[in-house]
Amino acid sequence: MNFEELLKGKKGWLRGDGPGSEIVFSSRVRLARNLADHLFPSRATPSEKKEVMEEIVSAINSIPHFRNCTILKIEELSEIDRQLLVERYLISRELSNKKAGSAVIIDSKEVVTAMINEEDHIRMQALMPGLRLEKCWEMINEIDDQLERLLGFAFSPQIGYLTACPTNVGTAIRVSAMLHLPGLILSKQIDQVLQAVAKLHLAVRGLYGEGTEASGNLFQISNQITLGKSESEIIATLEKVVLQVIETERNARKVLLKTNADFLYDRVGRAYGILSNAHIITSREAIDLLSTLRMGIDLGIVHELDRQAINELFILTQPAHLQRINGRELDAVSRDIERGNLLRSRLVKSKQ
Amino acid sequence: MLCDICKEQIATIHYTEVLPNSEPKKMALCESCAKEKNLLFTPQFSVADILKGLTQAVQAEEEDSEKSCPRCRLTFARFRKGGRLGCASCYEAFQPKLQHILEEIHREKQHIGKLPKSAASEPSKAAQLAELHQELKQAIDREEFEQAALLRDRIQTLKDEIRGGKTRK
Repeated sequence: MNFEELLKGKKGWLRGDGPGSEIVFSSRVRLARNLADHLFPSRATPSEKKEVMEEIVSAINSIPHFRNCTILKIEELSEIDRQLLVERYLISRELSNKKAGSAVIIDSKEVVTAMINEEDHIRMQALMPGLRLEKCWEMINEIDDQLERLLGFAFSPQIGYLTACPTNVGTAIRVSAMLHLPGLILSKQIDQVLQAVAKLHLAVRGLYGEGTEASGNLFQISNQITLGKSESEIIATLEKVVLQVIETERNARKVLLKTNADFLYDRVGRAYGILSNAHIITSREAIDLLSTLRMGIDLGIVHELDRQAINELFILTQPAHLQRINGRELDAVSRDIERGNLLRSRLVKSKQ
Repeated sequence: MLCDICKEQIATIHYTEVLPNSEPKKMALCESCAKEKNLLFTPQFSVADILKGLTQAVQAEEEDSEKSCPRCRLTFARFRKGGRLGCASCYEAFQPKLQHILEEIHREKQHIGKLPKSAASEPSKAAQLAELHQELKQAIDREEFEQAALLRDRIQTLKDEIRGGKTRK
């Protein structure tokens, strides 16, 4: 795999375009599938896991979508590279801790990935920038059709696709959107909105940290129920809710800009100032300030930067990315210094 | 609605208290009273913890948690601990208990949605069943109750046929 290419980060959801992308960072649809004639990963021996992996890899290699894909065996990756894939949302933390028999397959556009032998035999996801749940589902649905013909998945007519955890049984689909909600946080409406969303049996999680303490003002909304509802129903419900949240966030930003413009300009200006001048900066501080700066771009307060640049910085300032860029292991203190260096060089360059 | 305990604050947490040797009691509490009763989720909980909670109720009824799946040998006790099933056959092996858990999690018991092509292309009974369920749901949504009743009967007939087929085999 070409990690250097990954580090340039011009692909996948980082592009920051698509419908509603001033609020929706990314949309994701994930399907869990298991081969009918093998034990689930938690009960399989290492040799059975390898067998499963080979079967899946050869099936995937015959699918047009995966032409020029990258296949990475987890056990062959360094600690930092595994962490890097987690920071990119290309694999889960759970997969990054697996040993022999686990792998990830990444398509050439960095949109579709398939994790092999995570909790289930296959966890495939499509991840795109902006609100594009339908499009994600179309892609993953088609790939699922093709794989199913080659592999034969565990399925029951009563309870649907069989998964290692009963919480995924049925459609085995997880649909989620990552939302940037600084307006709702500043206007203190976030709790209300999140509670309303939770009442609809949807899960809300802060991306970095928990609950309303979420740093970076990033929240993921996803479905919890997978049985007794069709995929389209689940997607439509989530999309409807997300559209409402977007509307509320847009309004909150509008009101803030109208009634509290000085306050907003000040916050954005300070964030920009610290990010482009700090020499030592923690991950947490960087995320919070990048969030504020991104809002400044979305509101037209800052003109010389674009969303993609900020999206990249969200990722490039994470620990594994920093270490990969510097080509060596860094302790926490050195990371804070290198983070400062990276931010300064990137943001000052864009000012010129 | 006011909290059942302090009778001062608005109740936001609703639950049914099931204590041994007494009738289930519907309760409505405010957040602070719920906290005192340790009813709120702590931030650190996992799927396994939830499942443990759900399976405890089941276990109270049946004491055969040592039962194991004939294919992968996973015991129900072990599943309760780890929250993960070992193979597709576990769903059959632990059927009644899992059924209960699935209903607790999803509030539904019939899959509606995508079918594998292998199940959908031949007019298998399984595929028909899932499709009928989908139609039934739509009929209810449209409030076409006569149609819904017809569909329900067809589902029942089909289910009997499937069950009959299985025992003959």
